[in-house]
Amino acid sequence: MFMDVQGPSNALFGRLPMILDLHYDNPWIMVALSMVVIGGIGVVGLLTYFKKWGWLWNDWLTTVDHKKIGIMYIIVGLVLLFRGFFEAAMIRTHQAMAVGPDSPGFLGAVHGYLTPFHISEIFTVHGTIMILLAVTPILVGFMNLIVPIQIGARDMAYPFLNAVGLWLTTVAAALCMVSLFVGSFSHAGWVGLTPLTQLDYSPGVGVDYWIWIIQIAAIGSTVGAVNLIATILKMRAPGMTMMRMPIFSWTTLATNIIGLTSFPLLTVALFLLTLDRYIGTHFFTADGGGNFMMYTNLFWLWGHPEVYFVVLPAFGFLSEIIPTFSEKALFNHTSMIVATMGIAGVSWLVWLHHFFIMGAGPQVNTFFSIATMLVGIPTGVKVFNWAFTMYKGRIRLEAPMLWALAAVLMLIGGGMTGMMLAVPAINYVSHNSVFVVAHFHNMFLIIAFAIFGAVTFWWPKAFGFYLDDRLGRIFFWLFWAGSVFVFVPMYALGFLGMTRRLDYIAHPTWWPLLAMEVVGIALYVASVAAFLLQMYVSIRDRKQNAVRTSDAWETSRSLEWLTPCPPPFYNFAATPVVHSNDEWAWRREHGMTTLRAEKYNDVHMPKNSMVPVVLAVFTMALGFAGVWRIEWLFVASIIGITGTLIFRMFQKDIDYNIPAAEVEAMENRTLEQMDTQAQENVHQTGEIADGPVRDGQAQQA
Amino acid sequence: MNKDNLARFAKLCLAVGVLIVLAGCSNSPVQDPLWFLNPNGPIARASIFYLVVDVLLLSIVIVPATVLVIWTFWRYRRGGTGKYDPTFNHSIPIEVIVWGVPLLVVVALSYYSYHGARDVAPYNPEVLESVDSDQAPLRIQVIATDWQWLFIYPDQHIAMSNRLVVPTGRKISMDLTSVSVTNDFYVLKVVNQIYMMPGMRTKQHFLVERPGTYQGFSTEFSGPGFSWMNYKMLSVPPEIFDQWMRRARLSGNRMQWQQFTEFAEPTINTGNQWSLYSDVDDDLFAHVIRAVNDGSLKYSWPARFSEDMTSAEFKKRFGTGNAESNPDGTTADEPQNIPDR
Repeated sequence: MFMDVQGPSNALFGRLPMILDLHYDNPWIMVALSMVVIGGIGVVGLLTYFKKWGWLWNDWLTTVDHKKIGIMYIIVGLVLLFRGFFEAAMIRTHQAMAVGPDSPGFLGAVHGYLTPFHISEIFTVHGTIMILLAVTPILVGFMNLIVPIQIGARDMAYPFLNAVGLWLTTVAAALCMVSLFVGSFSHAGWVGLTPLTQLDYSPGVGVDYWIWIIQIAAIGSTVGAVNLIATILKMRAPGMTMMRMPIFSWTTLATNIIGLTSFPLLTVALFLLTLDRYIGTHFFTADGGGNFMMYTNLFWLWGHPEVYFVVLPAFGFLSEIIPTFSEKALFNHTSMIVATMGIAGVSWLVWLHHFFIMGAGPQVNTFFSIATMLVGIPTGVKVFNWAFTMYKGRIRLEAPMLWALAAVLMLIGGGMTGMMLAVPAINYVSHNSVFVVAHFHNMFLIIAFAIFGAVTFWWPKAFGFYLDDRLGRIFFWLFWAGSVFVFVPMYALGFLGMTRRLDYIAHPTWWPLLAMEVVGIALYVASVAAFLLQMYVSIRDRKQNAVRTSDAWETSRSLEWLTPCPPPFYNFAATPVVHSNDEWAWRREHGMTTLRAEKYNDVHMPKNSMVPVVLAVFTMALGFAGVWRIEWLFVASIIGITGTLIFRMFQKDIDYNIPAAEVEAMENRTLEQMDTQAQENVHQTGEIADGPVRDGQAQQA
Repeated sequence: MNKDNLARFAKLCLAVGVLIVLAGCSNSPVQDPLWFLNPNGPIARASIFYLVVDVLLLSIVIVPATVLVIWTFWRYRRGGTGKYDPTFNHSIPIEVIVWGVPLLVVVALSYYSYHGARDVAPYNPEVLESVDSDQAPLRIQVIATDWQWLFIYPDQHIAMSNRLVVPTGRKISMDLTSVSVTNDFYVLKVVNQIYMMPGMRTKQHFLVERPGTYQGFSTEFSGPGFSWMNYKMLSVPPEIFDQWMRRARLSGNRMQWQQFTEFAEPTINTGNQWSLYSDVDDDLFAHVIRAVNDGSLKYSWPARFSEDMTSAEFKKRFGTGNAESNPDGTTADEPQNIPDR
């Protein structure tokens, strides 16, 4: 029933005996391994030294608090972002070395220092990590962290499911780290087009790692999407109509509708590929009646919506940051909502633009070309609305605003090149060139800039102190300079005709531009150092940089600034009633900035659970067994997962009530630590347009 | 960081940037840097025409957007000259303009997109129809293997591997397929890209106007030998093209099914080697498609390629050695004094 595979294998260990034959003589693997081992020992040592294991387990690993889950998502994402960046640096330096027939080779490579096998693994894992295991978790983390507070909810609709989503993502990330040392990763590109990923052309375990990592991460994203949609639709505070919801919550809703509807497609496509690879079906083969272009279609049917899955929350960040630092409401709030949902809607109709060159006729290509260009309209509207938000504003160029402005400028450039690639006649000459690579990195840089802006913006909310401003600005300028130096030459190389995914570059005339990209990478390295230093200095000086009021930036606008920094685990002592699009700005205007509730009620909260961690352990075993074809372990993990879920279904003791008196006591303690005088005095008048309260829409709680 | 430091840093970046760009210029005094913006032939030129139209139409939106963002920031920053007015947060006329103008631009672009797609459609490009020619198009069949190219001239009964020679000014009609995985046919500045898929046939048409040497390569990642799938396309006057055909017929290398199955073994063409073949099986192209479909032509790759490409084992298994020893015994690489383009 199962396919014969190359290399040694047995019933007990599956294909694991293969690892004896793998590339452990490669110094790069060993450097990476030692970094991970030293880092791991360091973390374990510190935890033991400071006796923090109980704290870690009780306060973090078993938590169902959406804020902590959000923070853990972001940490996982940042760690993987760091690894993905390393790979980017390796690709860039290798390509700058492997130019022309006379360039020297090291470590067994004919040119440069990476063999074709190795570099193709690196660009595959770079893409997979950056999209699925770095950017996605960071964005989902922010959705978790901010959205419930922003809509005035106590927690997510399904706190337990939330933890499950986090742990599935973490398992995918862990499996990806394991693949670096145990076996190898796919060398077929992050897209994994068939038939290159079929057993004939990818006989190792690399593609299997890629499949199982994505499958597990995709399930995590799907359950997360269910949760966020339910939360946004059902748990908004009284008075917060859909049209009053802040844009970040809207983009989260749009994103998760995309996620919920598109991730199953990927799951199905990869499942069929799994069948091809494991039991020899012919869904996506060239022979046996298979149709491998069907995989390409299915993949991009998920893949393109996924692009908007990651870019929309970034637009949401910008829509929160720009009004705050322009001290003005977001221009045309309704129009922004329409634009967001418009982008989400059109995202389903554009997938074929990833393979215009497959030989489809002009009619088919034109349909997808026009659909793709339609996306440009709402995106353009967003840019103009941000610009008009700044217009007649009072702009403070604080660090988050720097990131946001840079992101808007990046969006103009990326949008321009995107509209160029959308035209088939142009695509026929630029497809698969590094022009495309520069374009989508440009788009991802928008997300990166928005993310770092959001980190700086919401850091005081999440942790109660500011990030160091001076280092933050140095980080920004280095990152900006790095982006310019890497991607402007890359656009130029695209015009010169350079193809993506090259191991060896045959044309020496490209060298100067490749060398410039290495300069950019050096700037990026410096920016990473500045970021790490910023984290260190900020945490060291957290006492001096503490936030004294709920409104860290003094001109913030939405509901999350109506609760202390950091928010208590129950978010709001009393559920707020919403009066306006920008509730916190409205309250500032009307002198209602006190955090003291008139009356305290019992608070109903979910209990911590270790079930998600147990599920994670079994899922990890499942993924590992799947990759190495260890049948008994695979079956055992499925039984384990099913058993754990059944156990959870019969668990009755999953929530508790905090009595009103206790809530009041806790609130008083928090308020004592804050600067109550400053909190009462954050009034500012003349900030919002609509003066009178629209009582009709504000129901009393 | 204060303003002075910032300005100094910006100047430094600018200086370094300019120096590096200048270094780039001095490094390539004669060689053509392969701009795809410098097309040769109606197809590639049509693509560049649409590129220019696209950019010009887009600038109707892009330029005002950029100016607006920078100008508003400058004027309304704290300490700027703009007057603060937080009540300005809705405007129907602006709304109509920011939705309407991009919409009109997209409508215009759609028109050009459709005509562009027809003009350079790989199967029947309209720009080639307007070219008068009494000669029938030259037929060429292209087969991508792991990781080499075979160009079959069915009417001439010859073939070339890793080298393409076409007559200047004559329409070329190509059929393309692949043996194992998807590749992508592309000759920079002349031929637009088209997928080559195993078990399937795609088509491409083009015409080269000037003689010269052009760079062809695969643009769809197809495995470890992908980076070495470079070949030269020579565009030569008809009489020299005939010389090439004669030279191939005299080469004495056969390309029947048997030889093809050997040729198609996974090979990384690190030496940039090319060959000529006479006595080519007329049915070879169709046979490859049939054999891929029924699964009888298939090469499994080893679980991992040797980590040491410089080893003798690697050379024996995948390498094709040195370019200096062409199998037809000639050393002259280029037929005449034809400039590189």
